Amino acid sequence: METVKAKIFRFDPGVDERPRYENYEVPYEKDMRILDVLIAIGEDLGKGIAHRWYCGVKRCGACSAMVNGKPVVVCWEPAEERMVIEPLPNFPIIRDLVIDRTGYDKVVSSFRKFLVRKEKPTKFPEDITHEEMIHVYNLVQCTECLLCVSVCPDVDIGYKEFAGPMALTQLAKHALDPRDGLDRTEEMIGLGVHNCVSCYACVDICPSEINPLEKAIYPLRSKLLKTKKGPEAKHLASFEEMVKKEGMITPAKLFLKDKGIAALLKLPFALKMGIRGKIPTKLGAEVPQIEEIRDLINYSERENV
Amino acid sequence: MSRFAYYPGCSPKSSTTESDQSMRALAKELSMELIELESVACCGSRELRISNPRLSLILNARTLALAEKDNLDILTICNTCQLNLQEDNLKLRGDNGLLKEVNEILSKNNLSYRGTVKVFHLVWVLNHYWAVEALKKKVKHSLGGLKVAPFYGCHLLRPYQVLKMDDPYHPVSLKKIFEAVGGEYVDFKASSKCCGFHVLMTNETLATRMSGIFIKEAMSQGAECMVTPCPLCHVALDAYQGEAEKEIGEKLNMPIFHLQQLIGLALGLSEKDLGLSKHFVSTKGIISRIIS
Repeated sequence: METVKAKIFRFDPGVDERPRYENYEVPYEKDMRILDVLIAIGEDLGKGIAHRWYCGVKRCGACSAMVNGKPVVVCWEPAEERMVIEPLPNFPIIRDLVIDRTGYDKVVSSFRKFLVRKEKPTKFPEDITHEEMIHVYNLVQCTECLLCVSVCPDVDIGYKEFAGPMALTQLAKHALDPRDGLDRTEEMIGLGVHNCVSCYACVDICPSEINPLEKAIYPLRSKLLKTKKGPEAKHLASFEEMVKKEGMITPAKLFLKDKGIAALLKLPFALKMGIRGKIPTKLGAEVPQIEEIRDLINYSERENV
Repeated sequence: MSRFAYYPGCSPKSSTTESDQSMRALAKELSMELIELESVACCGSRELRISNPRLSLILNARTLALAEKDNLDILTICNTCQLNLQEDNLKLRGDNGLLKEVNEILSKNNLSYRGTVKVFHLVWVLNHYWAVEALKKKVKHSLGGLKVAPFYGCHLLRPYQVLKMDDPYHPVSLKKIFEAVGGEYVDFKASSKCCGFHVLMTNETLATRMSGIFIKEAMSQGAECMVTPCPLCHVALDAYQGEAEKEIGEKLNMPIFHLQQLIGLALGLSEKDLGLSKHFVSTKGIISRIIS
């Protein structure tokens, strides 16, 4: 390619009635990044497009934007011949590509973002194994670039009782640290860790390859389960119990176990399900050869193999 | 004829029996032999991955070992089963130490796993094994330009590093199938988003708001019906559509098909074969249009 054609979102809420897109063309240079295109448009064409960037090497998390429908950190992605560059979705816009991060910065500063020691370490350096710290070390790589938040479906529909993957990663960094002595149960519930829908959108998009779902959110939920508190504790326990006892899950039975007497409120819905043959006549039938499965589970738990 | 170890999963055996029924009918039509893995456990869904991931891995290793014993690859019709089985399969195949450890436990059942099984979702099989071109030749009732919105479901596409099936941002695998049977693919922003199923039991408000908003988006793009390759998405989109309507305060009335049902209709299978009377939202209007 000889040139790069970029169609860029422009909007200044204090001046413009509505957003617009403007087309720019700059000469292509070898190994050009999307960030270089934005810089060239500003410096060579004299167009004052508002965009943030600091480090230029994927460490500061400032330059996030949406490029051809996919959120990226623009300092780490190669320029394409034709690009549509927009601000990250689901955030208020300050100007052009600059989003207002205030909401998430407030969430992150709302919990104790530091270790709280119960006891002073007995010696220095402390006896902490690599295995104990590897999770936390991985989470430290989060640059708070907000790409995960921009693709989160909870955020997309404007659901307020979920703090988003980035905030939970920041919490997990401390809550999963073996040196942390603080009871963070209320922080986990308050940030709505149980309201993650497990869609993996944050996993795929994370430029630091942190895997916020399996390395931060699930371990937090597992930690919360051990306290037997939070809205999903009973559900998770019932699910595991049913798998161990019957092999498979019968959703109607699981629902009854979860809700108890409150399940009666769903009676009309249950009847509709029953009429359509969506509730088995025998609730909780065991899978064939369930004894084998139970043997396996007992053996693995007893021997802790 | 292609033979598979068939793993329908929990939902098709109880809350979406029509997805299992229509899969069996379609398999017959496409000369696929399904050998059901009957004595297997749940894949772990999301719950066991949180509460006891080790148990989830052991149970999935057992499922894989049973398929290997029959020298068969596994066919799934549920996105979450696909992800869990495939993810654990990759873990076991990529870590000899772990495989040895798990095999020691499986030996209690006189089983062992060597890592030779592949796990395929129906969408993958139709796109690769059963070439879409071949599907075209079997069409008896073309969908005649019916506007069909895809709802891929998260665990068919993400995490890409594990599944590597289709581009999570611009998926096309269902497009090829819809077009092969004469449907018009309605591309809409939420087609690869989440139905909310995995919080349905703990937070119905969140799940139904999510599914309601995304169905509405498909409607705004002119979709006459939606199709999903995942029974869990079907529960959220069809069975809970009434609740979703209440949650977003709008009437939706969107027929939702399982992928195998839509293909089955085009291939001339009957309503009864495909279990279409089991849906909450009536599919009659769409069926009569296809058949006429």
